[in-house]
Amino acid sequence: MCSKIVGTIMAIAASFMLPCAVNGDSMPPTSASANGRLVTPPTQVSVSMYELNNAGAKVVPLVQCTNGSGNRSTKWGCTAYCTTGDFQQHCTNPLIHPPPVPAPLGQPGHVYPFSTNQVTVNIDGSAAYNGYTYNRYLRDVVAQETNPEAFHAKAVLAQAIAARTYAYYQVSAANETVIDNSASYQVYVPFRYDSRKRYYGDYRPPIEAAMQDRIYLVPYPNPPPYVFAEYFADRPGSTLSGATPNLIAVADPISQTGCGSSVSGHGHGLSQQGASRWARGDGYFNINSSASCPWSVSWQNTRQILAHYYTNTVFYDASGNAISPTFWRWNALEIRNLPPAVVQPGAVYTLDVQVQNTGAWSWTSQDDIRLSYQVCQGTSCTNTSGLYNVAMPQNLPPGNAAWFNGLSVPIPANWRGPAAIRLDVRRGPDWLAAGGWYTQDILICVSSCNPRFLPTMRRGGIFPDSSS
Amino acid sequence: MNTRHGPVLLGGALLLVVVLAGCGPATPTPAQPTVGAPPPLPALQSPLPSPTPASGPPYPTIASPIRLPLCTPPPPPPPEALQPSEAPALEDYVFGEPQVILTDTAPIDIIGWMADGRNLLLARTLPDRPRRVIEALDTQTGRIVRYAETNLYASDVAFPLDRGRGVAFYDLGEQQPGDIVPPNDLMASHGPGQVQPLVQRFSSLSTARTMAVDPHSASLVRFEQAPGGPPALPPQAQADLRVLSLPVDPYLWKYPKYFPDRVETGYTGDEFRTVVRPDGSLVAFISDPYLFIYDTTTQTACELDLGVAENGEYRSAWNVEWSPDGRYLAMLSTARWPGNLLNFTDLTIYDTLTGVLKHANPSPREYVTTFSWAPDSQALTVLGDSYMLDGVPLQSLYLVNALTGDSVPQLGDQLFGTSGNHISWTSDGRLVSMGPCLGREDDIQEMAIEDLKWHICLIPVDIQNH
Repeated sequence: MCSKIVGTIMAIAASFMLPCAVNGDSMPPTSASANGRLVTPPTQVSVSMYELNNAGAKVVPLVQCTNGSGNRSTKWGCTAYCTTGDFQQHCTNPLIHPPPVPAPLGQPGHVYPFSTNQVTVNIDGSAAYNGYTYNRYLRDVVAQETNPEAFHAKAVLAQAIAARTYAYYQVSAANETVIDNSASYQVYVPFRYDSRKRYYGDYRPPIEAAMQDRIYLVPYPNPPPYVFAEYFADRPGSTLSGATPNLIAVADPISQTGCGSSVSGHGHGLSQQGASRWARGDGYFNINSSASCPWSVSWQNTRQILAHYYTNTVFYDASGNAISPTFWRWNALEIRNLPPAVVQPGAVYTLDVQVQNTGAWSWTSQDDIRLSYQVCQGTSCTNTSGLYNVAMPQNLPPGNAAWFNGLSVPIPANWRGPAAIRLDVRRGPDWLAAGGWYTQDILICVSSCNPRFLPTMRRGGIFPDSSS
Repeated sequence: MNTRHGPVLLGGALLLVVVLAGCGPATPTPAQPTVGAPPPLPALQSPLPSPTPASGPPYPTIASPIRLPLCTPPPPPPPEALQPSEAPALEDYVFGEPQVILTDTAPIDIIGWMADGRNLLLARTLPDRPRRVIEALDTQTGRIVRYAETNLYASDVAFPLDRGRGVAFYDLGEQQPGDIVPPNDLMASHGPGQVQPLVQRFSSLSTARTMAVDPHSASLVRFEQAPGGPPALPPQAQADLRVLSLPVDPYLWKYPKYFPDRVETGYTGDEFRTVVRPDGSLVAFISDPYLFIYDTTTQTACELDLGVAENGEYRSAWNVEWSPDGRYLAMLSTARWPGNLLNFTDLTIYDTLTGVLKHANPSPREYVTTFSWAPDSQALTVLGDSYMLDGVPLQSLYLVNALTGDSVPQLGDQLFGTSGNHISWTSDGRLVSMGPCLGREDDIQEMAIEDLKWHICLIPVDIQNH
């Protein structure tokens, strides 16, 4: 049933593909480089390991995970299969999540798995064990810092990219060759990834999938070679500016206090719960939430989430190649005066759209930036040249947003059935979607539709991922 | 002293009548259905090599959950029962300068005061061996008596036995074929060389889901209707512990909250802890995110709904403790999806007399980490994160009014650690033991975080105007 609906949506989405046009976007002059040198991402990270408290902070006085006399900790932070400590609700029950390997020889249970402290572990490593070794830093980090049982899959992927970039940054930073396993950096708890396997289901595959692309973020235009990809739990209204040009404060209107958002964390960079909200198109981040605060916008791709929270960035793939587009990107943050799910033929809807510049170049009046639309059904679209549009009301540096008000969208009088209003930004004659970026789609039903289409007629539109 | 305690005792008498209504309308004792064989599990789809269980989950399922009624407020009590006229104000408590009585480079945990109010039970980690020792420190002479030595990897829960007869603790038991982890045995020591087992293999699932220990009251609560029933207790356990056998299986009270189709989260918080009211009339059952209260007189139970926090998540509680007079149930609480880091922790106080739930969070960083009731049941001492130094949280001491939730800071420039922190009042209310005490704020800022040690300190307390 579910796959049938998805298949139908995919067919509709494919029929709405815009015709290609030449776009002014181009690759950056170099890949991830500092002073002209090609930088190879690090493969290992050195971590000092401590017992942690329930917020991920080191306990005080500090307790290392091994005391140098062969004793290894059984407390949280040193092992996810913790058996002792004041707060045990983080501790994985090994009877429900069977550990993937036996306890180390001579040790009672799944204690801290290393015999030394600090430890050097592979950032990626392997999903498969080779004896009792643990070379899987990112898997354990992502499994703790997000949660496939609660967060949307796109948010899990966004977390993986942010965590990878953060690790690269820390390893590459001249003064931070050793990090620790606490929330001062990224919370790394050995066995955390393994504890996502349970009798009721296996939640490792979404994390495993998020590991595969190995995408990371590079600042533009200047080195250092990796974005200082800080992230935090939640903050209503907007993020806060951080220490680098990639961490400027951005509006985050989907995160609202009345819909489960609260201040939690430093507010710099990616909002973990915000990421899940944008992916869901709902003010509640938790995919299990029975409550709902529908938002007018949801985003179809993880890169939209990351480009929203990290400003002046370029995406790089595992081979060190920049991913297009780099300079000309946009996100819709909110749409007001959304048409109803079922619209009348010949009706005209006037939309107000809050548009964020998520690219790496400033938008000025010389760029002739406009918000426009197409209404598409099957292979037929209206306004393909973007003749009807709304001009940018003010210059928009990267990360900034402005309201483009009064975009009139007429629905063809002779159409019936499923259709879509596809919003896009134009730079001169070029649609930004033609450069590989994403449109903002509003699914509608003209006059009447087969009932099976109606669940997809959600505000903000939900399209299947062409890529995650 | 007498004038301070008189109204409390009177209030306690009123409570006995009134608070029994705190479990809501009288409900018939719920029939406890038996749990059948667990349903077959779906085949696991895993890309990774890992042990695959050959049979169903080794824990009870919710074949026939019983939905308990919500606890409802009792009839309004007379005004004089609500506010004892002699209750000291927060400003009346005067905390003296902390005096360090023990220092170590390895962790020291406070277990609690022995009944004499002079010997303090401590658990110290030995630096060179995987062992922990349980000792009584005579706070007047400095003499130390070692009660027991345990495996470092055993559960670190320990508690004084009633009437000063020794200490109960866990030690690792013998691992048998099929055990994924070694079980914990519940032990007791009545003095040097006087160690005896109370319940063997306590932490194994076959036992852990049939009974629970309450360290605060040195009680053992048996769930008589749990599948298979609790194991028989040796005479020593009957002698050392306050044993309550209740005709319940609390695991049947759980109903899906976090997930639409199950109650298990997979974390240790799934297992019930019990907290027995001092007079034994009420027993709180706590399991993330559930809090049930069982009335031993009427043999009825209800759910105390902690509600949903601002972040949209269910509130859950741990570290739950009755006030000495039994009026209040205090607890550390939070709200988060299971397994996620905590965004906040606060102190929640349930007033059984009025049915009112209050949340108090004096911590500037919104992390309350531990609390302890003052013997007069009017106030609680609380530790909460006050600020970060070199990426780690340091804590300050606060005093919270149980009735109003108001709080005032105490010992303004003294900071405390977050590792195994513990507060324990002597029964006369004159002394508080604290650990780990770190020292004055100015002194700590001049030290490297790595150099901080475990200090156990005593804080004299005076109550003015009383």
